[in-house]
Amino acid sequence: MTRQDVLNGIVKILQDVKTVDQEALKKVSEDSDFIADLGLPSTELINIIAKAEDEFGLEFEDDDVDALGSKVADTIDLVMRTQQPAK
Amino acid sequence: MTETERNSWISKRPNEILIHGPSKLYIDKYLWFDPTEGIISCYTTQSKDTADHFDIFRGVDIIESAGQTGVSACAIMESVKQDKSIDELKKHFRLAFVGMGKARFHGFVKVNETLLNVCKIHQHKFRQMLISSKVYKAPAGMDVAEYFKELRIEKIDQLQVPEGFMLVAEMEDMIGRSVPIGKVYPNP
Repeated sequence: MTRQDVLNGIVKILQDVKTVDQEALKKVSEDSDFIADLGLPSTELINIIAKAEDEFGLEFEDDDVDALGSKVADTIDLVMRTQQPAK
Repeated sequence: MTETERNSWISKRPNEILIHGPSKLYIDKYLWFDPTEGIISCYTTQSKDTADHFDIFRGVDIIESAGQTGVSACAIMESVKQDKSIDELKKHFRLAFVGMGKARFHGFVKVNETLLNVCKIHQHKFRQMLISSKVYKAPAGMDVAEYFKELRIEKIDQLQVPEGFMLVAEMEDMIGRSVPIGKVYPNP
């Protein structure tokens, strides 16, 4: 899975979230901020991460989610890191 | 979680679980708890709660009472999950009521009246708990804690609120979270 695949998956998740600015979503990039750019409430971010687990068939650690930033790139990093655990 | 463990949790005083000081703590007692189902608490309003507000308990404080009940469930579950005591948990996490969707009010609560907070758990994920809540006002003079002392239900939806209770408020999408101390979340 590439970073672009993960970004596409995140966009797919966000398309079903009522609170997301769908116009802003059309221009989303890794640099976009879920909260500042897409209008997502901070409390909703956890739900997006939970949906990302299902979307990508992964299981994230609570500590990793605690440390997560609000940029789209942070979630992509988490997905990439989790699918390829450190050896 | 065994029945003994559940009973052990609900026998705790709210100030053992929550970090709120006495003037802002709106739970007297936990009445029932199930880790996948929900939690029930009660609170009798005092004159300090309705002072300067024409002897009426503020709507925002009704929400707070329900929120504190939900956060209590979140704290218990985090304690169990991390296998840490609540005191140990409090050293690392701020147990907080952080968000809410809709609230509908159907009635009001006066001084010395008792609230019954019935909170249903919908999700507990990544230290965050999503609940909905119904708040009832108990009939005058009823000892709610005593009445529900022997409450034996398996699902929170099985709760039959006795005649005379009045639905005061309903809340959806309430969020409690164990926020790591030092972590600053951006404003929504």
